[in-house]
Amino acid sequence: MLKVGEFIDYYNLVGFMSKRINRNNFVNYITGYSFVIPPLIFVVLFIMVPVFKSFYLSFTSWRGLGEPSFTGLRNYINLFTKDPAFYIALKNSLLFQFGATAGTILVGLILALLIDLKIRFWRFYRFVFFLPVVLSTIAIGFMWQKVFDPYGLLNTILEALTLDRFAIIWLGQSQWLAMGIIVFVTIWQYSGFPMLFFLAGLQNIDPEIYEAARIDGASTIKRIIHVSIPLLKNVFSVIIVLQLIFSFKVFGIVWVMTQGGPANLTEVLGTHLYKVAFTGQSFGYGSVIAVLIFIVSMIYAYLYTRISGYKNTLK
Amino acid sequence: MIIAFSTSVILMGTGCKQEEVSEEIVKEAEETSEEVEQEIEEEPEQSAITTEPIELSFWTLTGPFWFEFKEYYESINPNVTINITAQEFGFLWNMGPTAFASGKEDLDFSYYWGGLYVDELGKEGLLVDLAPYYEEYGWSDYMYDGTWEYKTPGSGMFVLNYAWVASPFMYYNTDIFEEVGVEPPETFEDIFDISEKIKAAGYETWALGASDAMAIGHLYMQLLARYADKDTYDKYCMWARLDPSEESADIFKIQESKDAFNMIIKLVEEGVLAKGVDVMDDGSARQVFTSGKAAMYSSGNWGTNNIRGENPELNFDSFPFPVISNDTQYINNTAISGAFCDCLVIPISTKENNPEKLAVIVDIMNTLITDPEVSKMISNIPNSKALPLEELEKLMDPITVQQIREVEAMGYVEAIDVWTGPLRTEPYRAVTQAVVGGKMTAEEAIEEMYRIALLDLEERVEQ
Repeated sequence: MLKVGEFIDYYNLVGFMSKRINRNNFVNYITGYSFVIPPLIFVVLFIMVPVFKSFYLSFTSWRGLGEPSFTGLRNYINLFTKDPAFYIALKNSLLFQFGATAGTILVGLILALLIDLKIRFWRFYRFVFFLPVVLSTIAIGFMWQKVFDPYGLLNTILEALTLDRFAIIWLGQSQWLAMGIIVFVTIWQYSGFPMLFFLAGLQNIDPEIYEAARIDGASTIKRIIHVSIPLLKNVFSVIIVLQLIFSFKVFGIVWVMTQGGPANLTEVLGTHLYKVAFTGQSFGYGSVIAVLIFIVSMIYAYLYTRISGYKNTLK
Repeated sequence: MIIAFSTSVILMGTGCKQEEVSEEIVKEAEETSEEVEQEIEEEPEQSAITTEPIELSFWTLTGPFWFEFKEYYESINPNVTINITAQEFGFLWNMGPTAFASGKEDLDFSYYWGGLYVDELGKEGLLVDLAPYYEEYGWSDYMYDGTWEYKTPGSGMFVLNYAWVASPFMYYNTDIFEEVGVEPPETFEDIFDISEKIKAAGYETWALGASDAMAIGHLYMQLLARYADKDTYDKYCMWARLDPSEESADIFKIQESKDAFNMIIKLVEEGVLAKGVDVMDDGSARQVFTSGKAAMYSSGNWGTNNIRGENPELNFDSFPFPVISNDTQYINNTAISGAFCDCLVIPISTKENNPEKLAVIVDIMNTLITDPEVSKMISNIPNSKALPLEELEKLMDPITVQQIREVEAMGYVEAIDVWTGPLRTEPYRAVTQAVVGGKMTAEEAIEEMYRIALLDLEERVEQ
């Protein structure tokens, strides 16, 4: 937390309130605020207003018709005491979050290190690995769902190879397997994102450091472990927090592949919210889940601002 | 010089051609003019429904019927334009009520399903009560008696149900049945017997998509209809519509419900339901059937068109959903139910803000019910006697004709209506999925249904 003095210095409040504002300062302030105000209006109208509305609705009962009726903390109490699907969804969300974050970062790092070796056609590989990131999650989810369908591509191949006993119900056999597959698909799609971050970080490392390590007899692997990775510490920090934020709010890939089923097996908070609010027409109750997701996301966002070092800009 | 010469030749040629073209054009214009004059003379008298141009915004599901109807109606009423927005099933089901309630959508009338949500919308005063128009236009004389199952209890009639479906039916692959040497089962016990032979031949017996609310909900409710008497079944099905209370919620814990769940468990454990039943949706299950991997697939009469569309070469037929057994203990052991499905609703905002549009929409409804030409277009079964069934059957798929006759033979065209039952909403669906997936016993399932009903009741009481 900023101290008061730091807060005032950071926002230059003294300067702003100073009666000795000269013409240049005034123009600077107007210019600065004219850039800030439009996105600020956007944030207020399209983010803050819906957020406050969700907070309000979380204390009401509302089926989308008529006026919401105030119910106090009943929705919150029901969520934590009478909704077993919520705990399944929370567990799956955390599983997905940590699995997808660790997986995309690890695979992204490996891809970045390989591409940084400037192997032949490295530009093509960079393009190919990043391509799934920009593709539609719906299309990718649908494609992979067909692969893992009981009568889909994978089982058809296994049966053709007389490996029938391995032709299982991939997305319904067990929670770990089904969630693992969803995490795999997410890693497949999004590894290109941290890959770019790591590539940028690697290209910022002074080549002389590598040269010095090479002269000292370090192999390629040792240079990666003892030079590259330590010098990517800041990139790790940023990308981990970003991935945690993105993955906690997952909805699309789960909805397309399993709809959170069967029987809540792959339910995450996003799908549970959708079912409760839009299929079950309980918008008040669904808003509680939305509030929880918001609070957790804000915690991660705060972590991100700490790690990205805004405090250092004061000095 | 060469260029100038070529250019002049080209211009001369163009000029000649223009003269020829001009004569052709004039001649064509004259012929067209004569045709137009002739058409104007033959043009039918314009409808008096409106003298001013009117545009209507209409939401419906995808499918050709409403576009055919639009063309037909607009030819009779040239001042009317129906702007159709085809919505996806889930979007219309989930978002329709919100759209009707807000009154802010560009929406004058809409396709919807009778039952649960319509009741709530009607009671809130958000839909136009069509009962006066039923009386004024005599629609009931054209429609089957079961129409009135969609009347909101204690309130008005907020839907016009213009087409009905019959459900359930079991479609079967005739080639597989012939190869295996079995006949369509008459009872559920027979299904277990023929399943052994079908599986021995390397096929799945019954393709069903339990991740789909409709498919698994139908199976459960039809089993319940066979175990329970009509009064009990209606109380279960209509719980949320009639008298939701903590006392009446005991209906979810009846023995018949447990029996229905136990039958589902038996179907799964003995491998009658195809592999992956709990992760497939209805579309995937139908593909398993149409690709020749499964011998049977359950659906309603709408399944005929779907199957033909996916695999026109497939040799298939249908039989009524089997009875539980020939034991007379099950007095309501009904094989067929009719469920009125395709409905129209009018948001109250149309009546309040655009009363001139309301008159046109009512006329559209009247045309749907009373015009035999429209009956010919409807892909489901028209809820209209405007066209005699004998005439209608000449236009229908022979399997659909057979199904209508089977419904008539059972004498049952009232609605045991799965569309109003609780199984349409998410929390209940998860229970049947859990049972199908072997994650819940029948006893646990009925307790869970009861618990969900009480939570649902809390929400309703607050509202």
